[in-house]
Amino acid sequence: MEELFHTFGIDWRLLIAQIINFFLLFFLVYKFLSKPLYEIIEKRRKEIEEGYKNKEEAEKLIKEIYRLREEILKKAEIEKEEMLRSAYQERESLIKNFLEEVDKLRKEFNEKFEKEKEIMKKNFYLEMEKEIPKILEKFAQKVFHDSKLNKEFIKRILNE
Amino acid sequence: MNEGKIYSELIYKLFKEGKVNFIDLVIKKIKNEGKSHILRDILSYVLEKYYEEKNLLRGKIKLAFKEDLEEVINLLEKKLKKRVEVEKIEIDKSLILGGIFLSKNLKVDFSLKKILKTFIS
Repeated sequence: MEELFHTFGIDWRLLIAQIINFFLLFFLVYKFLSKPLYEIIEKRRKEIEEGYKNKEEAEKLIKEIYRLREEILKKAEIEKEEMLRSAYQERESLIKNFLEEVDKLRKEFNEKFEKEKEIMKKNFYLEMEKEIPKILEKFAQKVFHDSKLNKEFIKRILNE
Repeated sequence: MNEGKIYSELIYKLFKEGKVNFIDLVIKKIKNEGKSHILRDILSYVLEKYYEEKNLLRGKIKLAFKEDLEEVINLLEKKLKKRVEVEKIEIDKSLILGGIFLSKNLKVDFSLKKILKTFIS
């Protein structure tokens, strides 16, 4: 064994010392470096996992928000259309009523106007019937009331 | 025939025969019977009869201007073929031209106003 070590140039005391060194170093590394590092990594991993979880939730939330937004927009659109339709119908109804009212008023006014016109016409003719003889008489008085004409007139009338 | 007319005819007959005394008697009788109110009608009837017999029209005349009445009467007489006597003359400017002769039973309107009225109506 000693010869084999010697052939390969291995010093078993050095080897033992190196093995002891290794385990010592391993122990030191494990004790003072590996554990805190592991803890840091674990903590970081958890944080990342949590981050992912949060991200997924946030995405879900965003999707839900988008869905809700779409729903609200759709509803708003429907409501808007409904309101517009209702307003249009109301406007149409108001216009129709207004036009009917105007037509009714127009008819009433026309009837009233026609009646008034007829009354005025009748009154005018009645007034004329009364006034024309007076006017003609006055006219005749002014034009014919002449003593020179009178003699001739009497002759003609009574000789007829 | 009513009572008034009978008396009227009687009085007229007596008047024509010139029996004035009888007329007085009839009038007295009428008065005695308390019917004096019919005397006016009797007189009017007798006069009418008299004028009619004499072919005479008595009445009033309205003229638009003061005209020569004789001329107007002549024209009226020619037209009516009766004698005309005017009791009253009135001037009425509203007649415009001509005039109106009014007797108890007759109205002759020869005014321009009448012609205008006929024309308008």
